Amino acid sequence: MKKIIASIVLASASTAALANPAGCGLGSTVIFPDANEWHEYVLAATTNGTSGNQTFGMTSGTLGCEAANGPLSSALMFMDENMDQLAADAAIGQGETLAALAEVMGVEPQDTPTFNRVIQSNFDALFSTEATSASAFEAMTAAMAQDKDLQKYLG
Amino acid sequence: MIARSLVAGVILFPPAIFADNTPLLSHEKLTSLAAHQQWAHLLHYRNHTFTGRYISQNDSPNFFLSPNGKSSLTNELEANLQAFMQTNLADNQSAQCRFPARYYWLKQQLPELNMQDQPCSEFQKWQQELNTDHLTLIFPASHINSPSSMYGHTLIRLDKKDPRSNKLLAHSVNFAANPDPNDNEIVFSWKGLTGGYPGVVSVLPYYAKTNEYSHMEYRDIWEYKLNLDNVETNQFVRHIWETKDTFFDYFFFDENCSYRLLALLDASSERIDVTDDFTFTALPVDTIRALQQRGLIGETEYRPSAASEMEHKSQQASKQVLSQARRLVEQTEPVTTTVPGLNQQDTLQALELAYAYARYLAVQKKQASPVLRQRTLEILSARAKYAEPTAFSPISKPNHRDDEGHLSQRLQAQAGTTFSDEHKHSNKDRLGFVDLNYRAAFHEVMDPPQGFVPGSQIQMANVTLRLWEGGKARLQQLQVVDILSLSEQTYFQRPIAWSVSGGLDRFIGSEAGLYGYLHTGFGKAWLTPVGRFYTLAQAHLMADNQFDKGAQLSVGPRLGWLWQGEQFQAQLEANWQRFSWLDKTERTTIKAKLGWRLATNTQIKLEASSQHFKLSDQMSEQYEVKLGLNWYY
Repeated sequence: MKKIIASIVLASASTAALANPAGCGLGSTVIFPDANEWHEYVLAATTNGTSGNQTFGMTSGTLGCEAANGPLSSALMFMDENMDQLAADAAIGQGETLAALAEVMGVEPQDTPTFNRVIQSNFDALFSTEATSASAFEAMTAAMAQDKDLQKYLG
Repeated sequence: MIARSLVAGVILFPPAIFADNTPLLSHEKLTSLAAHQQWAHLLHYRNHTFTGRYISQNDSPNFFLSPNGKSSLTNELEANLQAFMQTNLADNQSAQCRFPARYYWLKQQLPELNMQDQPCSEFQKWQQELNTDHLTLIFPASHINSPSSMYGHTLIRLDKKDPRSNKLLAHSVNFAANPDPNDNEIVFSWKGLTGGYPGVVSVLPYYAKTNEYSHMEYRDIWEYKLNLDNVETNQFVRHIWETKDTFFDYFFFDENCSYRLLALLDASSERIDVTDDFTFTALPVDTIRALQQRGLIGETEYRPSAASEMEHKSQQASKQVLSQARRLVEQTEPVTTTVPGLNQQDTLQALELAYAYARYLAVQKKQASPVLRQRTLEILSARAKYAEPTAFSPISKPNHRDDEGHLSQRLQAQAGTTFSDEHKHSNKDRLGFVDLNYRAAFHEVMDPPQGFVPGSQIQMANVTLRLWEGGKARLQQLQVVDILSLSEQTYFQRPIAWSVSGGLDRFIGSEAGLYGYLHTGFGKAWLTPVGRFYTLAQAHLMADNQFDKGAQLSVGPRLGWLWQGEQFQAQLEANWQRFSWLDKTERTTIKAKLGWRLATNTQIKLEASSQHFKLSDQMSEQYEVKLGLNWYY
């Protein structure tokens, strides 16, 4: 079970976490991992629990990710938890999960079509069997840096 | 711990609230406020189902400031007032920060005390981040091949004001058991049912739940906006904070997720008082109905599961696209951007369906492998080469939500007659009877189908009493559990149809004795324009003195046809238990049923059945016909 709880977007930007994004396990998610042990199903049936962690929607700090604040690391956390759905949306260039990533990145509505197109056309750089959420994140920011409309969101 | 030091503080100041040795509140005022329903709701006081004691359902000492807080509303009120009156406290040290909902409510009730707000930066930050404008009740609907999911689950999403704000990024309040991951499957289920695990409230991003329900469990989700105003919504959020680091014992049937959410809503507003509707069971779908009856539910949204999406897309695709989609997943040669023989639009369809199928294999069929993973990525990569939007039209809402179906309990009254084959039997040919049937839960395939997964059935505690012509009364049948899952074969999904049933039953005829039985069957089902066909291989175990050697074990085919129309429901079924052990009697049963829906909760039902017994060259046949009315409540 992943121990990272993605945060809510914070206004203050802090890129400190990005220097060592994997410091607290952040950024290590791979795409389409083998999962599903019996207990997830039995759990869902009788207790509706999903994991042993009690969480309370707290932003960072609680699980060893003190520096994980700001839109950029929020995006990394979001990617950590949504790699599979992101890949599916990125391939089509639209979708709710991709829209959520744009929102976490602070992309304004007028730039989201561009954001979607950039993510879709860089699919192979973001998603591969070797990719992790950290490498996907780096590939995304690199692709955004190349686009004049999206550069401004990298802070 | 803040709470503990506060408790110590309260013990030093005995009952009644003093300031400069003058009581702040009269004894009368204190007791009347402690008796206020809202104070009880904030503390989760309820009459205990079995002992009748009026105590809090929260089982954590740190949910209370008074040592008697679990059992004395007055003591807890005194302790809280005492603590809330303290001033000049450091940030986050006040009891106001620990129990902001109680503080808010008491401050309103007692303006004369002039309570001073103390700094609570942690709570405020949390509240600001959640940024809740309104609440949405989330109901992951049942899934056909998982009868336990038929029971359902509910959670509450905290939505932001901006309608453009992505719902996945909102947070959701979830009440669930916090299990011990070291327990095995059986201990797990047992503790889940009996309250062996502490139930805790958690606040998770909504995407964590949609990833689980939509993409792992393949359950559709219904979302119901709750009609709470801002004041109530804010109080709900404050109250959620109060449950942090506390627990309630979790019981699968009554004090479950849905029950607790209602209790949390009760605590948020004086106008809400829903929880006491539910004493012994709290079926999630019934809790939604209870909220609906009180006008607390607004518009609804549908969020299809990955499986519903896949089926919806398959229906739009041609045969050729379907077979290419499957080939893309199952072939060994690399995936290419163009698919032979398909135009661009069909290629997009094939790639998008192939992805859905690959995930279905990995997630639902447990065929995840490095090869499939590689292939899934190749399919998406090929799809990403096309800038065109998705090749499929969006899925539309189903005609009926789960909460719009018939109610969970059923009463049935039927009158009928039995008769045996006149040529072979000399005993009484015809005998009339009246049946009274009660079913505690939930749905059978012959009930009105609106709002239920087609072809799925789960019945619990289904009891029939029969009064025979002439006055003899007896227990005719007692089904403890009866599950039938007739998920149909589709182009991509190949589910197993199955059944399990156990209890007490009789054969047709007034002289037939009661026997215990356990039936199970496995097979397949197909959905066609003229109804659902199914075939199962059945194994039956029956035990009673009426059987030679006291029992019979048999196997044989069970074939059926089912029509679940909006108005009419019909079923034909034949079961031939061809091979038997212990008792050698060969049994064949044929049933025909017809249902006519009069209203959401009323149905007329006509049933005819025949049983044929054969033992070496001896044969007998029995028939039964009955007509009656079903009432769901």
